[in-house]
Amino acid sequence: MYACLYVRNATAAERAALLRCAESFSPAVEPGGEAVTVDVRGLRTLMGSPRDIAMRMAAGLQTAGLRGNVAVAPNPHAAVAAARGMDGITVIAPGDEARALARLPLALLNPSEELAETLQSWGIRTFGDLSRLPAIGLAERLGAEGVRLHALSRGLSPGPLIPLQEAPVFEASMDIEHGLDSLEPLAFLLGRLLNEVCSKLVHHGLAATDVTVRLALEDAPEHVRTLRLPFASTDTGTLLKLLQYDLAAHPPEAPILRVAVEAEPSAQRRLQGGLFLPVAPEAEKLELTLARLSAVVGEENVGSPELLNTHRPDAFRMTRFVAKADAPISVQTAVVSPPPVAIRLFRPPLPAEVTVSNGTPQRVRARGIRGDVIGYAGPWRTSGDWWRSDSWSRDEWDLALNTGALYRVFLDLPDRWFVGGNYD
Amino acid sequence: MPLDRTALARHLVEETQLRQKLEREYLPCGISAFDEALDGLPRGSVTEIYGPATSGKTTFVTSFLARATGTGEFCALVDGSDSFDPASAAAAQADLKRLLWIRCHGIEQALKSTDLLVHSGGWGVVALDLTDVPPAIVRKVPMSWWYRFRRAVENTPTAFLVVESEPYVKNCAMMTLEFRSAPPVWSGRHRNFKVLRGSDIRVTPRKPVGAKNVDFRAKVLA
Repeated sequence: MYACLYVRNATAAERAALLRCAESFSPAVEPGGEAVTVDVRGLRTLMGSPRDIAMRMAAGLQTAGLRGNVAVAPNPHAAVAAARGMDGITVIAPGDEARALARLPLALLNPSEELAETLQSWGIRTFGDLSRLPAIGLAERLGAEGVRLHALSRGLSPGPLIPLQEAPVFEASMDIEHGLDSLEPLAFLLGRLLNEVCSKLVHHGLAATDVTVRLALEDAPEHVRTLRLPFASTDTGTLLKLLQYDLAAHPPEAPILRVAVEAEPSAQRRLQGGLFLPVAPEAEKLELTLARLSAVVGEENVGSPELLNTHRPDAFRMTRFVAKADAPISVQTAVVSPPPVAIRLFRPPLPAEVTVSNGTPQRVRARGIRGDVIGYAGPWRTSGDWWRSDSWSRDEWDLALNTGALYRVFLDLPDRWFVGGNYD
Repeated sequence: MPLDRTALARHLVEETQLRQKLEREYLPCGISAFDEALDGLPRGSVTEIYGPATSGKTTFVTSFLARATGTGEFCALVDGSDSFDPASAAAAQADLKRLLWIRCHGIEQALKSTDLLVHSGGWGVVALDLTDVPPAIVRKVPMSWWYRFRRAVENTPTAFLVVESEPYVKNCAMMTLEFRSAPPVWSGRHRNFKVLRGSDIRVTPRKPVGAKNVDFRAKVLA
């Protein structure tokens, strides 16, 4: 049996109160705005007959300060229709749905505008009028919607109750009696907590994309680190190693009193490999490799370069490297022929002493570079971002030296020379 | 008739190299003259590329990375002195999202990073650029490291490149390419109005033995 609690024109606060009232009777509740449907099949031993249940629910509504209707019926649809259409308390016995709902107006079935107009023109006004029409004839004239409305008018349910489910939380935590001041024993605790969280994720058919570790410290603010993965994973070993690398690079500043691990759930990863796609690094292995590389050279020195939309020389930023196996671009467009000359940059540019005669460089000296100029092109003035404190303005030269090397040299206006790079 | 041992030895070496060449897969580098002569650079082995400043080796490697990323390969560049120019790679039509750039400061970081990459697998190209690392330091790298890298990429689809100013890898490499100083090509007559247009690059294959020089021109994009 199912019950429906209905409050006509309920405000947002009244709807929340209605839902709380329904949840006080049963955990299997389907919210529907002004009408909340409750599965009361297990309440007979607790509260008695369907009428007793309905009366208890009506009392509950009154206690919550709500004025509404309560209906109990063999299926959710009949309960909702009865609560919406009949004032007070209504109890429908099994098999009596069609008769009990016969007088209800058709509008409660929410027919489409076109169908409502057609039924109106036929003189069909109530559930009973519609239920008495032959189903086959309705199907021929009104199609699938007509058949659906016909079943509803007879009090038949279109589907089961879809109960409201609280979103599961994937977290685990542990208090530490004596403050932990090194990362090695922390790894054991993290492993246990990650196992717990990942097991719960697997049980729900989910995986984690973000994993957050919160460390409550002694006499210091909470230390929070979040691992953001480009893929969903439940591999405890990989997650633990990545967290270890991260905590080694960003260690807490005080002894640890409590450890908590939270995971942001996501659908599990589905991979469809291709026979003809180029090989790609495996996702988990790649993340571990990137973490290890970051430990060697620093996080800011590992990634893919992205050019910035500016004329500033050597303007780029490092972005996170993700091995997405997309379809490659056409080979024809990938080849530039003849190949462009590449330049090797000096970072930072090398301060230089340049001997100038008649406005042209004659000799260049810098760290590891010394020679006479035997060919040159320039100068080309380039400047920008004049409104900023880091604006630039320089005269650039391409200088060929008698050593055989070709350099990009620039005069950082007004008077500082640098060697910017070597064409190679 | 006495046996001409020199001719026999040369014949045997060429036969072995031909067999290896037929069994091995090659990655084209995007420079048609080179790809026609040598089919590209071999997968699953070490290629050594060396030459002085302005010899064209960086242009060659950049073109190779551009071609590889353009066909969907994931490439890693271990930059021993942080001298890689992303703008040059973009000009060569490299897909920078498929390029992992590790900016090292010193040979120790470069070798550790390379070791991690070649052992992690899944890369189409791993390039180790030691051009600007002082030769005195690179000479101290034990040969066992190069053999370690070679073992790691053997029987994998990874083409491993070592780019240097002088040859250090030597016998460990399956292909060795020497780049000579490439004279710049200027345009314009008046000395004050010249423009750098490009350079003529010559590649001399030291391995495989007997391969002919490859000449090509690289241009400076406006």
